[in-house]
Amino acid sequence: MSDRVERIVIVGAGQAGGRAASELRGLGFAGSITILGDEARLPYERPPLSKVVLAGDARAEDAPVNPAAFYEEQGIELRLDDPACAIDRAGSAVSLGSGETIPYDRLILATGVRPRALRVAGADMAGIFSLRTAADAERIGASLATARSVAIVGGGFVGLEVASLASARGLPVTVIERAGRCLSRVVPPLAAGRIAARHLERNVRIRCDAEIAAITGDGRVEHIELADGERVAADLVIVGIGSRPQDDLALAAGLACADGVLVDARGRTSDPAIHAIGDVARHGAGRHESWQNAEHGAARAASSIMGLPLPADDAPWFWTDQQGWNVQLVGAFVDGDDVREVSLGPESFVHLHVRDGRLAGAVLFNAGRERRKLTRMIGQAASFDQIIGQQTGLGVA
Amino acid sequence: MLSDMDLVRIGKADDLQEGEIRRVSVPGYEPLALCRSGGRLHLFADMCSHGMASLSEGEVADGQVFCPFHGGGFDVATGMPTERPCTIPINVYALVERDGDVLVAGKM
Repeated sequence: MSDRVERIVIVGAGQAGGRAASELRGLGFAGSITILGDEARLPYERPPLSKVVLAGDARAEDAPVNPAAFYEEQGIELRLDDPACAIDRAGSAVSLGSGETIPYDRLILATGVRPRALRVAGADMAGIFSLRTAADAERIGASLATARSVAIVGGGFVGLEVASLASARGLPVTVIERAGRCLSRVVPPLAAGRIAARHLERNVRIRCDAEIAAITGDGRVEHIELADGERVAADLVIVGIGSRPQDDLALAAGLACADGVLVDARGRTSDPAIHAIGDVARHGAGRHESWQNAEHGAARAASSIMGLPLPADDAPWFWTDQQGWNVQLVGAFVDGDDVREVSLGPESFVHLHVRDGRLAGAVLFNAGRERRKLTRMIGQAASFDQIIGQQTGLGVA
Repeated sequence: MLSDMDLVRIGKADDLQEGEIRRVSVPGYEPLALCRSGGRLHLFADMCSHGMASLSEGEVADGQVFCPFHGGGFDVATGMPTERPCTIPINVYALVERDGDVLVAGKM
């Protein structure tokens, strides 16, 4: 591995890749930075895709990771619409689909994830989409304009955000969830129950414990057949059943991978010249697919490459828009947390999770004003009454 | 020198405590947010430059306003972004206090 770092190549032009470039320049890296991307667009933020972009209220370009002029101003080269094909670790170079070879001193993998595919008969029919890219959001948005009934396969964040938009347009929507409840992976039961109830109030049908037997139609989807015999009519189907890390390049190059590219606390892979960040990287128990994790990973990798101390991470934070509610989760949640709901006003409330006498996490419903204060209290010894007392906004109703 | 023609009355703000913020409607202007920070009143666009969020539902602290949706921050005096994901400044408006009334005096 070269000790002199003059050339940094970033594979992946998403949130993590774009931010790694700006973090490196922010820390004073003066060498060359090249970002390789397989999409033809400048790095954009993904959270708006399933919200304002899908609704047609904004374009993906309206939420850039860095301002459009940033790359030229900062001397950052973008090689877009040209996927990376292979990493030559011995030769310290990446080869592109166009046949070109880009040499590096340090490589940052920010290749993200791809949607998990639905493996069922008929899943390749027209009218069935998953949502990952700006182009996906544009295609689904166009289909929503003419759809008559919508089915969402998977009751996760993205699926339920699409359900919100579709039901707001008066379309009949059915959410088909395999588990016993929606949002079971990251949202604690009480909060998930509040969100599901809100969807039911807004005429979204939710079918839990549901297995799909087949998708039927005449080249174009017409029905989803469930294993219990129910037939759900839908001419637009959104599949949101999780995602898989895009670790093909890393695997082929012999880097250690296990549901993601394995990294240490600095973001280094099993090859010290290569870092991995964002959704594709796995540190410890699992991967974290979130905007904040992409930001943190980019900051860590940039500090690591520059030989600087690692920046401190904030508590995990995630947000979602559900049926007109802004919902934010900070901290970590486990079964058995002591939970209290505190009302802040009409349709504004907070779930406080206390574990072992400390604030472990909070779910904020239309209460973003409290988020920074609560985040600072996470991990501190506090009873509910103390937390509520210290929160100026949390006047007990 | 501003003539009175250029000043539009917002209303009274003596009830607005340090760190408080509220949305105000002024004819001829985009929706605005008025806050008291560092002992002074500040007036700026209510809509976050990053998305469809109302900054008057956010938090005012350390001379900044933080968006309630995604946590982005702006300097209340200059409108410059201070915290990601916000990268685009918001409009800031000059104001005048006269006889207990707050009046907007145009974009800064």
